[in-house]
Amino acid sequence: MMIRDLGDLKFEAALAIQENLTAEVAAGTAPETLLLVEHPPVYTIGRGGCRDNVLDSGIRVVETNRGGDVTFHGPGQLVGYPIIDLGRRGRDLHRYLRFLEELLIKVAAEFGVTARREPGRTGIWTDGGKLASIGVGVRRWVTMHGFALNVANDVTPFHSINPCGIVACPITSLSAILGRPIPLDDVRRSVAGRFPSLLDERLPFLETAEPAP
Amino acid sequence: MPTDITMPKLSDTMTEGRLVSWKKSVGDRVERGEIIAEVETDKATMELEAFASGTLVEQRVKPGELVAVGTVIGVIGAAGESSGPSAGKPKPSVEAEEKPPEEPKPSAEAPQPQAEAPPAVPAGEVPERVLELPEEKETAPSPPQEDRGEGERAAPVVRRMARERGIDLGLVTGSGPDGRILQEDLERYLAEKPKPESAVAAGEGVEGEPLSRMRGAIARVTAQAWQSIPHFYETVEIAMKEAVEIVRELKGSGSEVTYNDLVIKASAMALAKYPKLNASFANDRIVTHGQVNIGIAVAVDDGLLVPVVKGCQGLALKEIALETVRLADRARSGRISQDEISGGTFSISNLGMFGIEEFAAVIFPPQAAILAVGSVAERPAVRDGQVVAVKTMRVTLSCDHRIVDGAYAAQFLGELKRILENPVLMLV
Repeated sequence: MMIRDLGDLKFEAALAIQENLTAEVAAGTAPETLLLVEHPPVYTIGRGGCRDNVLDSGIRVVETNRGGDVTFHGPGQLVGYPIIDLGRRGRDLHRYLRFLEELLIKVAAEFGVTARREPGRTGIWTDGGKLASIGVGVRRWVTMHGFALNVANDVTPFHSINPCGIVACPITSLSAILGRPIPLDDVRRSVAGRFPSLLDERLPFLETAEPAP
Repeated sequence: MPTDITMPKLSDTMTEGRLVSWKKSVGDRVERGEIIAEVETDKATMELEAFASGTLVEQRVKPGELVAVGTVIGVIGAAGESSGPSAGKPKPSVEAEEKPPEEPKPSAEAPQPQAEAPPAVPAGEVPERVLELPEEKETAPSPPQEDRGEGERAAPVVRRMARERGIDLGLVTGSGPDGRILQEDLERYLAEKPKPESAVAAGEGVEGEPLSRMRGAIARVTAQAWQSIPHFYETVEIAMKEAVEIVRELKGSGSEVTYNDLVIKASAMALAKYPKLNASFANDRIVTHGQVNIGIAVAVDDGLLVPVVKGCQGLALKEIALETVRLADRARSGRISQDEISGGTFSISNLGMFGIEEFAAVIFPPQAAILAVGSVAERPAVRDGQVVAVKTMRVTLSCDHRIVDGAYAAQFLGELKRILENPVLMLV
């Protein structure tokens, strides 16, 4: 598989790259790819979400076809968009979500942060709050969207979305937990290093595609 | 030959999925392989492809509905063909009778054993057609004359008419033999009953939807409050400069405290001085409570819960903050216990994070008051004759006039303002 670092790129531009790649991976003309990117500030709304839940008018809002509700992307956050052919890796969305969680828990552990799953709440959590968000879209069993790991970002924009109601769902970052700035590049390297092997371990690639159910 | 579209199994561990949206409308031409709908499990959405070409003739599940894997969510047929799975005889296309019996209920909110006990549907609401299916199946085999059950006091034609018009037969007085309900009883009932809802339903040409258990509870409680409690409202604007700094400082030292936590703490302190607002009105008596148990309105899917922070009079700010996070998590994950949402003596509803400047809330009976909290924002203020930008927050207290009067509420708000404007008072 390939890993492409898109650097600092607007959400919509990265989305266009994802759309193209998804089609190509589905057609078998491109290898599975992990896109890594950092976005300028933007709120995105998943299929579970509603635009009314965003109030900070200073930041752009984009609706997308991933699962989940409202989230925020901004500088200091490592966003990963794996374009993976689950049609050849067992066709199991939950197993894919659990793989992404495990990957991020291992990355956090490498930096000395203990993170965990919360049953029923996709994402990565620590005692100080939510460390990473996960939201996935699948088209012809090829994945889009993925995860957003808070590395050194300003977490205050999350306070403006609190989609659930009254008490803010606390959001934290690796830097906030460790009390020192963690370079995004270090985390990017860790994610890129672990992703391919863990993927093959958890969702082994099958040489022949399974027939449609 | 019609082809059923079913909720796909997207994982070995997936038992149900949510229909997110339809990409095709009834009557649209569909080509095999085209995306017809989007479904969601957990935090992953999947675009659903058509396995057959034809015309989308039926959508059985609405966007947002959660259904079991394998449930038929729609039907693709030949152009002009009406749906009507398997059986060959002509049928009215989307009538409830045509549902295969194994089809699960569309709602996850009332996980009652089997479908034989449809959730109680409040009067005036039209039951959803999938839910009325079991009734049809049960009653069909036995001749109506022999029916003796409570719900069988009407002939099938009358029951059908009641269903179509959304009438709960339990509320209709029968004038026939043995109190049987006749068609004219329904007509009289309809003529007597106020009918704003049926007007709306008729206008939209849809069936309406039954209240979830939570909506039913909210409807009952708020209607009772609105009808029985003489509300009055007082609003005060509070300077939040110091509070903003305290929140920031606490955060820097590792304690996450929200504005809402400050409001809870300040309210608890102010209630200690003005206990008549920490009281209940019941049976023409006013009961003042020693415990300050503050309910916090938390929005959840399709409703709200009011978990209660108990014993606030003895809790430090940090303890309140931890408790509110815990309770809100439990409320949203659906794991909150009855005990955690009972026993409130005062409530707070905060819509500040939605940018609401100020609003008035409905009292949660039998409490005496509820505090509605708006956003913390910079607003123009006049200081020494100059217009300056000041961070403020507006709170509105809704009070039960049977328990307190305006001046008392104003004194409480004055104390609340004093504490929030001098937040160090909350740390000692």
